[in-house]
Amino acid sequence: MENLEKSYIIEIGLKENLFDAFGNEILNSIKELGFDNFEKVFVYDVYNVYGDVSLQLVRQITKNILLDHVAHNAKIYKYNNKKDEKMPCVEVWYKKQVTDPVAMTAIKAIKDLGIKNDVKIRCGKKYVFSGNNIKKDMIRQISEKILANTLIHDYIIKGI
Amino acid sequence: MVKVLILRTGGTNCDLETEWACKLAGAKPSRIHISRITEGKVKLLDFDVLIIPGGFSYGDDLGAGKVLANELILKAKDEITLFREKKRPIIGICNGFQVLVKAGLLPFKDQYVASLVWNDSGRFEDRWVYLRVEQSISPFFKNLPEIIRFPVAHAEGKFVVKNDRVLKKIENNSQIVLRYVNAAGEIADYPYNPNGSIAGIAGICDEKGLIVGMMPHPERALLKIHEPDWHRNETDDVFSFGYQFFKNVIEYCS
Repeated sequence: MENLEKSYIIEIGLKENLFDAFGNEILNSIKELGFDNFEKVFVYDVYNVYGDVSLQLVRQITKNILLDHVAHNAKIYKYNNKKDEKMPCVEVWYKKQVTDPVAMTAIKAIKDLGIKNDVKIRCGKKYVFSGNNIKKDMIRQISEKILANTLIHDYIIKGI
Repeated sequence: MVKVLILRTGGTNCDLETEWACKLAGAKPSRIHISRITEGKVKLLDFDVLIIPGGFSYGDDLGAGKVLANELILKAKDEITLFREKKRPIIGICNGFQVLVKAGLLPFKDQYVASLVWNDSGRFEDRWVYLRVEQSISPFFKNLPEIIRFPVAHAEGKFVVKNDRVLKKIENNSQIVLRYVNAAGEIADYPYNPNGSIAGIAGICDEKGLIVGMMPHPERALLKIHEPDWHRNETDDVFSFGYQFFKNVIEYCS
């Protein structure tokens, strides 16, 4: 995961007033696995932006390409593999050697915007969990059985 | 003959049905890839109607319709602006509706005050729905009964607005063209409203009524035999509600 270092993360999530249907579906699947202690799942699209980028450029990409101003909130931060998270969560990313089709679309959209910098992107998902007595091993099981295909995905558990 | 440009790009998949619908309604449709327009090889203004059909443009990877919307606005904005100034219809069906909303063409010019997000069910909803034809400013919904049926096929069709003022303005301007209802014509929850759209909104138009976007697919409801229960309803009618919609659009331009 060395490419994720010294780069930016753009985190896009639904606004609080909108129902997170995708998160709700995942919660149902988690309960089917037998983990009734999970109460809510928040789902975010995460984009790791690196290469020839500045914070200003990342903001421009976020505002003009990735963000739906009516439905989404966005957060931008420097990537830190050991970043302390307030809640238990897992990030799921394509393995480095696997084609990332969403990233290819994002690069096309960046070029459409007239940006000539050599921007590189990796796309992933972040799942944040709330509930009682959540253990790291539970998230590992959920990641491997529901959220990630370990043949093509890496997952990083944080906040626990 | 009325010339219709049916816009294609990677992931468009309802262009052939839309082409057939336009032919059936008496127009001359052309399926044109977006790159032909952005490269200047095809002029949008040589056409009378622009239809953005259904599908999954660019895989809907960055949000449904978002990349195509950006491409249109960044690379063909002048042509789109002139097209609407000349009062030529722009129709967005399903993914096309998502494109029009995210391009700032609906519900109000250059205002990003609405969006289409994931269905409340969290699933792709693919089935026929009842729709109420609203008294709107759009001229494309005349000669239709109050309750009609079209199929829907989408995952991101929940119409949301920035705030209540936007919804009130759309309602007061009579910009709502279709609402999801039950068989009695009443606004109802899931499964009648397949996605959780606010106020049951299935389709809207702009402030002049000439740019129309809707999630349901009129091009899949052209003939009576397209209807799911056609064999149980004996009728001499050949055409269904979708045909009338396309006929209205073409007649408006004739």
